[in-house]
Amino acid sequence: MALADLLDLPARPDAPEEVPLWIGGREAAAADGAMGDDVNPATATTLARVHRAGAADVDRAVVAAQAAQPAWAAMGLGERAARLAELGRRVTAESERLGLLDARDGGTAVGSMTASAAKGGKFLQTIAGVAPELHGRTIPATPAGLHFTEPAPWGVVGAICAYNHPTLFTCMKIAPALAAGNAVVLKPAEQTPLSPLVIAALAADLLPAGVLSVVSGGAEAGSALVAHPGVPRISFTGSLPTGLAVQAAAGSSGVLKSVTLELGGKNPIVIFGDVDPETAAAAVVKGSNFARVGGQSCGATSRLLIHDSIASEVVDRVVEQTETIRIGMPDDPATDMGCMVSHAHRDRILGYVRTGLAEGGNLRTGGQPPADPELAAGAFVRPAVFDSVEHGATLTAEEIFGPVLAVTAWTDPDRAVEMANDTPYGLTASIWCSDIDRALHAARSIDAGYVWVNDVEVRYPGVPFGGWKQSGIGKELGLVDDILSHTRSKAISISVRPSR
Amino acid sequence: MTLIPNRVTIGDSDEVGILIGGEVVAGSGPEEKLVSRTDGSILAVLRSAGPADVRAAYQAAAEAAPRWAGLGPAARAEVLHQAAALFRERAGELAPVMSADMGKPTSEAEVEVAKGAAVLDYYAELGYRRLGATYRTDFDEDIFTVIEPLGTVALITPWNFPFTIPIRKLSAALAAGNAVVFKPSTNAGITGMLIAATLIDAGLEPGAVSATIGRSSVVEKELLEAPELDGVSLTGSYEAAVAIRRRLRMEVPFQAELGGKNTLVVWADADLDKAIAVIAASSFRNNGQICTAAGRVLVHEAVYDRLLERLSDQVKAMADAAGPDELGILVSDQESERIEEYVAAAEDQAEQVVRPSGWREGRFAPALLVEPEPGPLITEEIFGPVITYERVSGIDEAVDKANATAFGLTSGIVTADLAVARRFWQGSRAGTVKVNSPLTGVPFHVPFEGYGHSGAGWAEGGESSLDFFTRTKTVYVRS
Repeated sequence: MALADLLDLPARPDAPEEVPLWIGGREAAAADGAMGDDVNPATATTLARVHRAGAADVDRAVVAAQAAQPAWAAMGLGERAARLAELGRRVTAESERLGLLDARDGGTAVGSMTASAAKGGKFLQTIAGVAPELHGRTIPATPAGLHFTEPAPWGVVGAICAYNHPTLFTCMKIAPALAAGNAVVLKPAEQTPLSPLVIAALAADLLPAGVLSVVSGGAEAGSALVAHPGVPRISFTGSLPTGLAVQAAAGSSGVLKSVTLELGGKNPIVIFGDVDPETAAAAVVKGSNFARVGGQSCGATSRLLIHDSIASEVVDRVVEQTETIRIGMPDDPATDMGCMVSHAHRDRILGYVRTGLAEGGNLRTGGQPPADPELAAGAFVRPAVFDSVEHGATLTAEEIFGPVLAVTAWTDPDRAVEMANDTPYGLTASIWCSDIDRALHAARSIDAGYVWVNDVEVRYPGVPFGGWKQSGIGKELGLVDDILSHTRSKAISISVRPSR
Repeated sequence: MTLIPNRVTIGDSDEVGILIGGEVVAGSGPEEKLVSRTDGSILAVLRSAGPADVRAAYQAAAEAAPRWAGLGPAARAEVLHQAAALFRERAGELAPVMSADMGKPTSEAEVEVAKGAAVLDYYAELGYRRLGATYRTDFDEDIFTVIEPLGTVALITPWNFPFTIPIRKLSAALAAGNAVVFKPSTNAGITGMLIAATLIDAGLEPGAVSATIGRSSVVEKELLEAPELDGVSLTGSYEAAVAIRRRLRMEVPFQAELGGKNTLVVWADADLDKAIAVIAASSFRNNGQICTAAGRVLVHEAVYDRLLERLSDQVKAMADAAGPDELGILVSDQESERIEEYVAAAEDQAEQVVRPSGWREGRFAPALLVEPEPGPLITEEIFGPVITYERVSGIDEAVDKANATAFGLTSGIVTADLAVARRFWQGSRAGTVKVNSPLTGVPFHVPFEGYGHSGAGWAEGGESSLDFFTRTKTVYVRS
């Protein structure tokens, strides 16, 4: 089927059609004919038969990218920006249909996915708008010389993104890399290949053939892309184990590579005793991202570290508010929370719930599939709140990437910071405190790359997002810095000599 | 069918008013007849601004400014993007108005509107990237800078680029969070009114932009001595800048982009095709009515004769209103007469005057004045399609001659020799130096500053405009 037709894909297609890859500016079949079922996790039905890229397809995409990139770079910043702005307008115009497609492909509620898709369109336009800010510098190093730096593209950028925001992440990965003059080979998450392919098709008359390829598939495609000698720059969003594998594969590829990793987190929300319990509870629910993406969020705060004096009152309210979240079919606009991206993932989450119980946690709500028989076939799970979890228990240590909140109380703020830091991760942290001094002290003491004081789970355009420790290397969302991150700097020094 | 959109007329009448706080009102200043430059007809009667109107504009601006600033940069960006979209939509309506206002061809006016829309989109994004800095000292404290708008600013703009020049200032001033009292030239008054009205249509709160079109002599005092005034940005003449500075309080920042007597040097090794193209684009675009235009051409003796022959042929072959670069219609009859006097003087004061013949009545034919005597032809800005042609034999001589003016806006050289080019750009007392490219044409994201009488010490363009329209507050926090 034509990729643009995916925008009208129903939740339960009668006869799932073949969906090709996108290589060299057109639809392309996987070289070895490999295909797989792309499943709607809410219905457990097949949405499409997707071609799965193998090493040969990745190679074709990289070769096409290498061939197309010089002309793309030569077009100039202004022209590239204009085309990216137009692509952004198209994505925004299609944000409802893209959102619905993402809801069916990945299981997250359509309201959330539509908002997310619109953000993706806006991000493309914003990157296009700030592109003229990309400049080098002149340095007055010597009186007789002309010294300047120029930011130049890498060539081919390999981008791999996660499943929780298919449209948005596609836009976030491709916009800055393309603006900088690179060609991009994108490997979307295995579970959610559809909207990335649609976006490539939407860009078909804007980007010269080969400048953007989408090689949907699994680990084979991802590994091939990371290890490919023609891809000097990698931008990866995903889990820690895969991120480490990406780093290792880049390291043993024989070619030096620049690698940005946006990985996961076990992010704490630290609430002091001087916070109004109503405000605190709302913050905890907002930070959990239960509704927005079913808790499948790298930045969500899945550990509540709360002052003992307000703990029980706040947790009661959190439970109450969690139980009002309407779980339903992702493509129903009335749904607050859809299902998990796959049955395998849902079952993994159920496994964590069992572990949590086995380790003595007090499960206050959720943690099982919902009772509604309409939802029985899908990968649904009710969001879980575990009270009185001892720090160090599995639920406080491992990233679940699902709707499970672990609550631990404290009385000593130093202990709160200690617990916050006692994790290999360091992506986000949220601190709630009426005393700005204590809040800032905590903010500086917690080893995380993106910290909120008195808010949670918000992204601010221009504020660079990225984690410390095992949560990643590098930053995104910094706008011009984003574009710069996809360039390499050249210094040119001209010694000006009089001619004869 | 009237050319004048009713968005700029007063009530049910067909008189053009001024825009104060979102309302089109009759100004209390003198009535002006607005004449169409394309057919000489009376476009409309303008009820121009008087002192009381300017006061009202400042009061509305001062009231709106904190609200507009408080919206925050992302929300302001939405308004500016929407304005860009509206201007693109309305380009077909705006272009003929611009032509009638000041004479440029409609096709050029449309290009100008498209460029202006891009400027709005650019400053929208740039506005919220005013990054401050954090600092450490040996004390346990947080030090950071916050970039704030000036408050209320006056923008005074000319007729030659009746859309892009106002839009460049408005975009930056508004993106930074300022409210604006906007005074466009009467020869671009209707265009100015449409610009302000469209900004309000885009969601700008009405008090944040008023358009007070009127005579400087009538409104100058209220415009420049207003207690609410926090900054002035002018594009106009040196004389206007002197008059403005005299009235401003000491503390009011003043940005000025003024005229120029810009020199283009053609070097011994210049490719003559390239030189001809650069001269044409530098001198005859917009009938030479551009502050950056080249008025003086200095040619190395090695190519002097060959270039003069080719350039003369080119000038003699120019036709009025030919193709997309319609030549001949200057902004006003007074301007045509004023410039004609320079050419008349050249009959005595120059070796040769080269002009095309057979041009229609009312059209101004370009002129090439060869080896003029030292005097006004060399030193004064003519602001029309008139260039002088002189011989030089060395780079130092070329630099000295190019600098022999109180102005310092642009200069340029056509050469392939980097050392010569560098000697020229280092020595030239001008804020913009072009090597092998036309003197006219300034991209909006690049700094542009006039030296000497061409400016007042503040660059425009890119981040420089935001620098002018903001100020820095440094905050220290200890516990």
